[in-house]
Amino acid sequence: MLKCLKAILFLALLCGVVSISEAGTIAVGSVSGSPGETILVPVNIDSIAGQTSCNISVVFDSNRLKFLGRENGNIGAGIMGPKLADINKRGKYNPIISFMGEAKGGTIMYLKFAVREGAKGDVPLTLTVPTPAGVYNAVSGKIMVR
Amino acid sequence: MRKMKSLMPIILLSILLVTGMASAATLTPVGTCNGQNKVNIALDVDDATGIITFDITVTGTGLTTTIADVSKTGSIAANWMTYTASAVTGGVRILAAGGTGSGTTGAGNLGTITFTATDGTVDTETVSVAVNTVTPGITLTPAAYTPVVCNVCSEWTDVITKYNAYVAGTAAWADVIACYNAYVAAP
Repeated sequence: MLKCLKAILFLALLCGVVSISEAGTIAVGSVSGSPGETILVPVNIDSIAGQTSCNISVVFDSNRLKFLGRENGNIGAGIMGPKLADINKRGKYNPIISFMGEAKGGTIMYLKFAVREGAKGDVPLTLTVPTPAGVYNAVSGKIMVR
Repeated sequence: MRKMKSLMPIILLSILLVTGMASAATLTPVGTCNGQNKVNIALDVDDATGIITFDITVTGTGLTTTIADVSKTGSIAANWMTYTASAVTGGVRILAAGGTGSGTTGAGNLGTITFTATDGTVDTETVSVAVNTVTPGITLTPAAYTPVVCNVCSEWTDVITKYNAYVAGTAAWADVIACYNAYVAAP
């Protein structure tokens, strides 16, 4: 009986390890910039974790930053996002990303921001991954205004 | 004159019978969009005169709802003393009884239920109403539901809703793309 329990516990542990290793991490970079300057902030992923798509959300202070658009990364992701006016009005960029082919990890895209005149301090770029829930670890970034 | 007097009780009885006779009314589920993926169904009756209690079942095809989505609102619904809902497959069963409801007259609605489209977009889904019992002996006939289309996709949240339906397996990727294209084309 005890042996059986141990075996079950071992299997459960093994499964736990496997599920942890299957999780991916999406991270927004931290970059420095001056008022008036245009900067690119990378959004990286270390593993697509078996998913074909996801929805991420990057919240920023639209009084200090202006979102100008995005540039492609190196994993060939397909990206659908809200209109620029909507993004800057809400201070939130929450695109749907589809992973093409066998993408493992790399840069999904670069977020292009302009630092507004008079902006000071660190501006957080708060990342969440609403969908799929619980699959990715989200690491936020920031823009450090010089 | 004497003959008239002898007929009086019969005339009075006839008047009483006519006024107290069971009447007939129509119950129509009327849908209005509540965003892209939700529809509010108002249970409209054309004449609630005489209804003291009612027991109806409302179900949706391609739609889901919960007991919490049943709203006791509207000119008639607010009058019933007890108003409870229970879950049934694809919908809810609503029972209302007593109180000031017995004095209700005229047209209005028996309440409103919010349904959610399982594929993320309200368009061709249907709602049906079954009348289990109505007292006192009133004929309440359900009318057909006219589907409403809420597939506007004019806001980014509509696209996200459609995407979430895709992830949940209730919408196709092509639907997400179509919704996105509609959003992009919207002014």
